[in-house]
Amino acid sequence: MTDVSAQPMEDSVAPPGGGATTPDLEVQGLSKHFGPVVAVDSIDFTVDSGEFVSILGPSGCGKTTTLRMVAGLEEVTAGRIFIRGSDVTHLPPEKRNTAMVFQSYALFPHMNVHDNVAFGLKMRGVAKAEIDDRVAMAMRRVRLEGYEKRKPSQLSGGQRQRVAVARAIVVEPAILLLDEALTNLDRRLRQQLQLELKELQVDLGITSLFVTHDQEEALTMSDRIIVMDEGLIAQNAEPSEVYDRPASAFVAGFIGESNRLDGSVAAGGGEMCTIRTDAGLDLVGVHAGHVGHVGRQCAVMVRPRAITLHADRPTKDNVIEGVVKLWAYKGESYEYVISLPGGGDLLANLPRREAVFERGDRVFAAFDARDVIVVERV
Amino acid sequence: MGDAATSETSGGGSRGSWQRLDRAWLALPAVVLTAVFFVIPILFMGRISLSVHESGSAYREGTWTLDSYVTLLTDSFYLRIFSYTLGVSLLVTVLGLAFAYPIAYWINRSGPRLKVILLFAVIVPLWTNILVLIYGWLIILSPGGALNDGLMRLGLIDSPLRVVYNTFGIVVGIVQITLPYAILIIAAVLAGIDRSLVESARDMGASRLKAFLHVTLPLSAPGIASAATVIFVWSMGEYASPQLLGGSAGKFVSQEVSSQFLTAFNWPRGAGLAVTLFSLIVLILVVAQTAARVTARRNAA
Repeated sequence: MTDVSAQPMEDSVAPPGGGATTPDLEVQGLSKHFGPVVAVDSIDFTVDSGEFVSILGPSGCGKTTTLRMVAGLEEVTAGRIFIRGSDVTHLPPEKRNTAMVFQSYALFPHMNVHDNVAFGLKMRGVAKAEIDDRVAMAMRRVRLEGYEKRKPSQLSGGQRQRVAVARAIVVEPAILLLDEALTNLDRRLRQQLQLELKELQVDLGITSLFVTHDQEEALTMSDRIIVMDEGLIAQNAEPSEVYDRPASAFVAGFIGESNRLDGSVAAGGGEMCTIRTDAGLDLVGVHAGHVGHVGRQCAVMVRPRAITLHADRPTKDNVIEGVVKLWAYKGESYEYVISLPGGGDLLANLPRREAVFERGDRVFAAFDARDVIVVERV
Repeated sequence: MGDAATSETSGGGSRGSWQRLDRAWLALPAVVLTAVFFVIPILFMGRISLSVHESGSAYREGTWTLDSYVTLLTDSFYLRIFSYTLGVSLLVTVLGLAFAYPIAYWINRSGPRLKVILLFAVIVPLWTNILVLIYGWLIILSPGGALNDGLMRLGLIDSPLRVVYNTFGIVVGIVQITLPYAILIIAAVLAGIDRSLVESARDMGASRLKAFLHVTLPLSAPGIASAATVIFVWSMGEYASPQLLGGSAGKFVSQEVSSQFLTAFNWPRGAGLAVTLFSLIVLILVVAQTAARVTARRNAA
């Protein structure tokens, strides 16, 4: 037990500048098989000190399994995990300096809030006086002073979530792991806690790995997003890049709404290329480098917000003529569904004041070449 | 998630009290059954225990006396019987829990297929008549039985071990009979403990053992208490095991009740024994429960 507590202590004493080249978390060729099912398929990624990284993906993509392997709660099938440079791949969870916030919060129901938050420090053999100081500080950080004597059952969902966060940060882990930590809260509270949690993370400079299926949550909170699909990393980039330059049709479809038109490369050269869609429309777009040569099948992704509607043909890179099929009021904006001549629909999202079209109106949908994302067809 | 929260609040709200009354009616068949076959016989028993004994007949009707209770509470013969029954029952309870908990823990941690097999193995003895179980133990434990025979053939012992017709035999019998109930109760409580609580404890730095001691064990305390109650109450009233597996070391209260009714033909004393045993069990359970509640409150404070 003594050497368990000693290890994290040594780590936290190390000068912050000295380890600048060593990421707090490094995962190499990590795989997890459940019988014949490959949950995680040889993935690599790093999380730098102080960074907030989200693993985003649909359920069953392997994101939670990855997090659990980092925590040591799931055995690794293949690959290695390094925390602050030391190999922890085969260490039990209590010997890794991680702290996890569970989706269910996993607060100990038989202990009051103080004892829940103190648990990690107690297990690390910290002296009682120091435990009390650090618990009090953590409770202040999550704005729950005065709730120490309550049992978890006497708290609201948001308060429980805060206790779970306090319990994790109080041990000053090398990495804070968050497993769908905000999913069980209602929308308003979730948005509020997203900002609070982000503020807390920045203030403490705590390295965080956050698993979520909620793209909005990932975009709001992350320094970097790792998009996972079927056990593989689909993209690993900053939120704005993931949103603006998705690496695949899957990423574009998963993050934000997108119109997708399938086609093939008609003309290439330089940064721009022309795509002939299967419906026979020619569109100009910026291609992602790997899409390649003329004749190659590809998909064109256009964000609904990038599209403008016009009564007369405008001069823009891409103009498609269509008919308003239906529209819906969305509060801040209007959503239009435009029927395209060769079949298929186009979704356009217009600011309130620009929305003047009715069902059956003939309109021109226009968008810039730089708003057209050309990706491999999957 | 939102749905669960909504139904939680509306469920706890104050519906009309007629509905609660409505629900109470559902218990009527059970109440009638309990009253007719349990409460009324006990009242009869209590009445008989307060009657005058008359040699030649069971008791004299319409008489009132405390004679049987005076004898039971002053005669050291009866005090020995009560203390033996109590002592063996406490031992059986401790041993029963010591066997049941690890098995229940194992069942709970097993994969779905092994779990079915283990649960089946636990339940099978419940389908077997208690007398059959006890005769089974006699075959195994008796001086010329399977156990002694095997040990002697292996040369481990020279003369048969005395493992039956004594307190050991009684303990084996009652632990075996009550074990399935204790295992099922504890396994059910363990199954209700959220796995992520143990994982969270491990993640917070607790070793496997510490996670068990700080999280699993305290959360399974209600199961331990229920199982202990079942074993203890069963043992206090047990008749077959001491009758068939016990020896001269001591007598259980139920055996003495039987001999007072059937051999000595002293119904008031037999009834007095039964009522005293019943009261003793209730008293011990009330004291234990109060003690548990006080400890829980002190821990919470």
